[in-house]
Amino acid sequence: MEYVALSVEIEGPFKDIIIAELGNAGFESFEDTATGFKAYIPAPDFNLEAFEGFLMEYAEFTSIGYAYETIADKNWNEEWEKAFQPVSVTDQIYIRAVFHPANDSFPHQLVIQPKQAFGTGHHTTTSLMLENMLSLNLQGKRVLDCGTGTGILAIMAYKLGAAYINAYDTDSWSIENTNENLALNQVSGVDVWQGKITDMEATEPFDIVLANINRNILIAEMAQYAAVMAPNAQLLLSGFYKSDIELVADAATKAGLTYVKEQSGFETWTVLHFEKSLK
Amino acid sequence: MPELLKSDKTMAKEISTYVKLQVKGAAANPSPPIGPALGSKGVNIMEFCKQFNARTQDKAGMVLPVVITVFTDKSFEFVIKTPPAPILLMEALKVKGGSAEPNRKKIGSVTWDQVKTIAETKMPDLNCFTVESAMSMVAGTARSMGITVQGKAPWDNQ
Repeated sequence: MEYVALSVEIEGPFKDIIIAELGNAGFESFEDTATGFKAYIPAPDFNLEAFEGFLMEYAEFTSIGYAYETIADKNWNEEWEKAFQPVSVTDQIYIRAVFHPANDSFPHQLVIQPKQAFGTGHHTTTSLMLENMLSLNLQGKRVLDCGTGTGILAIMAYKLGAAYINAYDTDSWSIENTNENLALNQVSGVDVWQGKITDMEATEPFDIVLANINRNILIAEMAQYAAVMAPNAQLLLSGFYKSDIELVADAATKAGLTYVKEQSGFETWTVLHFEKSLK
Repeated sequence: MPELLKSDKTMAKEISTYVKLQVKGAAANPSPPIGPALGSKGVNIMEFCKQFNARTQDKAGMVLPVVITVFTDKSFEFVIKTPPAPILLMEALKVKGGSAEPNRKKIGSVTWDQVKTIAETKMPDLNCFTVESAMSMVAGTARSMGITVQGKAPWDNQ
């Protein structure tokens, strides 16, 4: 998405006040400059007239100047992506980029060429999800991958024999990247779409639901995950710390799911496993 | 060999640069300014965003100063500071979010108890030796924002 960078020249106590006001008005992040600060907002949300009027109100109290520019959308993560190291998960999974040589000593090999999307196996949450997928029976199952990122978990599900995979993400970079990675791994028949779980078209229930997102989103969407799970379906949740287990587990229990197990890894990142028990 | 590993582990990593930003809690994404600031240093931006967001789930939507240390091996560490006083005052006023047009005239009021809570939150990052001086600073910021501080300052009653 294109962004607008608004450069504001200002000194003294009004700087933090204006930052707070702009934060309230949809600006996402701020950067100090020698003469004030820069504020960043998605270009579609930028309303020049509103901000001119607002800044001028402060001109009564302090000297203030501004300019703005539009920043084109691009892959800012390219520098890291062109030189990362391959990574293994247990002795079962080897994840590499197209520019790394193949390693056939692992039963499962995933080729991931990330493009500003999350999920290369380097992060503990991804490796915990992959490791826990190995202990599930995916053969012939229907799998939903919530917040697919690079598509890595969907690709793993295919390699583990899933019959049908549905993968979504809110981010357009992720959708493009998932499709590229599916092709690199010769995976076909995955439904990839952009949106949230609330946008999902009615479908048959799933046997496995995977969601590596974050605490707040998992809690907010828990009832929806439970609603699309078939009897006996399994749910793997990650993207949060051990200290948040209780909150996430509470939400899952309230959604009628049954606790199966927990596994924490480096920096106390955690995966929680729940299932929809037959009553 | 174990000796070598040990010394390797304890050796201080070489700092490449510091990146200072203010980012909304639970809302870091690879767009500017995070993307260009970290991406150009070869840092994995996606990993920073995942960590920042996980650590700030309790402060979703609140503007938080963050100082990121980038090392020459492209790894990073970061420290999240307390939000600036105006952010905390707005939080106290519950005028958070929703308004597409910022407007200085949405005046409200806070109590001295609220000022004290904010001052105590901010103490670690302020150059103040006493809570009272921190409270005076916060109250001054509130007035500059058009926020009234209700009643007398606690030290005026003595």
